[in-house]
Amino acid sequence: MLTVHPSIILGSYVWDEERLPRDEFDARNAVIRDAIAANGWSGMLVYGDAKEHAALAWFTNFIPRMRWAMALFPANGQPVLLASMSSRDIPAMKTMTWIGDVKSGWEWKWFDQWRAALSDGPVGTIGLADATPLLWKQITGSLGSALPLVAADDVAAKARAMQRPREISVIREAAQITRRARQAFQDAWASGADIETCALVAERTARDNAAQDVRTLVSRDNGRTFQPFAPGLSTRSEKGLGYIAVKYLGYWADTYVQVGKGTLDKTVEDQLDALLKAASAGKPLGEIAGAVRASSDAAAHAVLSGHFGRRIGSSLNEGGEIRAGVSAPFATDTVYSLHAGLCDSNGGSVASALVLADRNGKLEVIDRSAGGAA
Amino acid sequence: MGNERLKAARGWLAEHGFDAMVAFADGQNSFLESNAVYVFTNVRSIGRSAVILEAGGGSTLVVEPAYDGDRVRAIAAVDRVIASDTFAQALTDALGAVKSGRVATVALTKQSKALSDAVLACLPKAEAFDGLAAELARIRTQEELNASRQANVIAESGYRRLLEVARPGVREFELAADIYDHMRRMGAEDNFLLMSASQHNLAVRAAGRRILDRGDIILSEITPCYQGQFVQICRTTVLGEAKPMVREKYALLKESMLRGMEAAVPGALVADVTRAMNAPLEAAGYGDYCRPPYMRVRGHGLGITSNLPGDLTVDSTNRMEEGMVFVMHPNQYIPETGYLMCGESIVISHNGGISLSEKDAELDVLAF
Repeated sequence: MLTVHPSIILGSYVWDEERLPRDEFDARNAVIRDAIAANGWSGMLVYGDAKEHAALAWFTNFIPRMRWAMALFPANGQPVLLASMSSRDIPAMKTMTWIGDVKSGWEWKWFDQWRAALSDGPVGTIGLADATPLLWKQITGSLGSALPLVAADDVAAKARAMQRPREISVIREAAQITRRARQAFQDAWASGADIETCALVAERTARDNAAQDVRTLVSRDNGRTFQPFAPGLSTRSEKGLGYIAVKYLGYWADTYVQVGKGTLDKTVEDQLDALLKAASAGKPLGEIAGAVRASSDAAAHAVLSGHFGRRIGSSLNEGGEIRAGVSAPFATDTVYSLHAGLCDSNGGSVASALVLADRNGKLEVIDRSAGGAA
Repeated sequence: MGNERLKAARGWLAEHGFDAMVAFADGQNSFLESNAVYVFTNVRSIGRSAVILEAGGGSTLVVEPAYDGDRVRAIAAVDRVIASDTFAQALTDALGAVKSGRVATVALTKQSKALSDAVLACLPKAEAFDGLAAELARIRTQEELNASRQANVIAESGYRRLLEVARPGVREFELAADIYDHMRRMGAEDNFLLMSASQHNLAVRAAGRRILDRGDIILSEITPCYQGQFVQICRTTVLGEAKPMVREKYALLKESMLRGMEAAVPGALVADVTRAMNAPLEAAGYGDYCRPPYMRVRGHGLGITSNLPGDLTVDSTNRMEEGMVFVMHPNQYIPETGYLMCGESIVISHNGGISLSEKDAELDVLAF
């Protein structure tokens, strides 16, 4: 789900070594070491920016609050992290990662120093397609023809296809905060608040619960469309609808929230029930999507962009979209956010659930939008 | 405002012999940069966006995601809006009418290489003018200035809220959540809020889990955005008792600020304003500290319409112009006290800088 990106990611910003200890990252970084060795690369470069940093965060725990960062792994030796921040800001950046050597990306000598220690050969890259052409030019200028870039995004994608137990544990925590935020939204509505205030109360609740980032959208037209926060509006239609996404320690959970009553609510809950019943480990995603019976009176809600959910974790969109025609299987040990939604000329309704299939194929509903607070 | 800026852009295209302009925004709003799509259309997009302006014809805005189409159509100052979940494809399709022409691109170099490559493959006669939106919007209109003033009212109210609720035992992120929420309720659509505390700060940073304690110095860089105008105020707050040394050094920052305000007259070089700000610190023996990592810059432009006059550094070649708005902040690490902050948003008038704040920064002390 695409939401408004803030000028800075604002929230509790730490590396919690109790929840994600160093040995967790040792295990993850074995992927990098193995890829370098298997391909004969001279090193690997993992890029991320404030908008998209799932792979970078997975390997380093570092999340750029603004601009970009790159983790530079040599074939032999310790990595260095370059953050596009002033040298003044580097001490604060160091608190977010296990990488001991964090440098300002504004001083390119650090990249050149890393490059100088590499032997000739390709450099594998992850996430670099998101970097600007200017940064590409700097990188390729420094590496020269002896160290060509090779896209290695599949290395990260494969490693992250299943979530590790500690990741799932943190996503559960994020879901817990999301539940509290949703309840706060509903309580505010029940007390007579307008939809903007409901979203603000939900955001505040999440931030007070140590959320690292919070995104909200609201509907001001009985659920027909979703829009970002807009100052000065105080809309309260017959039915209210919101979307809340909460990031905690680098992991997202999300939920839709319904307040008031709409004519499509029952049908949408039925569609979500159908999705939950159909979702099982190994089943093709298109088949799960096919379990939803289309409504003869209403169209699929535009906010869902033609699908019924996707994987969620380090990013709000980890791929694995549940839509017609997709043959990839519903995976085990990874959290999916399922969505069902309809819209007609009077309004709309959207419901959601976070689910996880274990290795035995058992489906656990971690959270459901129609549910209450924990 | 977008219509006037589109008109100005059309004039620029005619003057420079271009057939079209394509301006980009990546959805990652920065308080330090111009958002070219916002400048020309009034739209702050959720995802990536691009506006295509034909020299003699219409204007088209392409945005992502598709679900945002209705909102964008209601506010965009353009002829046509295309909202799509497949942005690159929608954009390259929309470029059809201008593909063979001479096209000026704005901020394309700040997009991803993947998007840039796709666009340049369609536009063989593209030339980059990344600073065009910032240049055309460098002088705030009355409407924009009013928005800046309101943003500053919000910022000052946010700081007063901090003075009300900061106390030993509160975690940094809880305090940040409180004042952020306070400013959201007042209409701040975005906020680059840094707020942190220490007994000896190295710099300001984003709030963490640290618990405030007596003797802490709270640093806050409060930067709300209202109707597309960011402002910034920088404040220093002592929790407990302020040591005489802190008061003495804070006076140095205030002196630096005053010198900067006096020097910031229309036509002045930004470099000279910066030197004027550095002078009191150098005279007090802190010349070696007037560079990173002990400070960053002495101020900077404010997005999202125009970031000019740019960073206040001794290397800048920009000049001050009447009507520019930026933040001036002699924030500084001092070895005896740690990092201290003092800063206001400034509008350049015919006889120097005028602070937008009702009450300029003082060293505030919360007795506990």
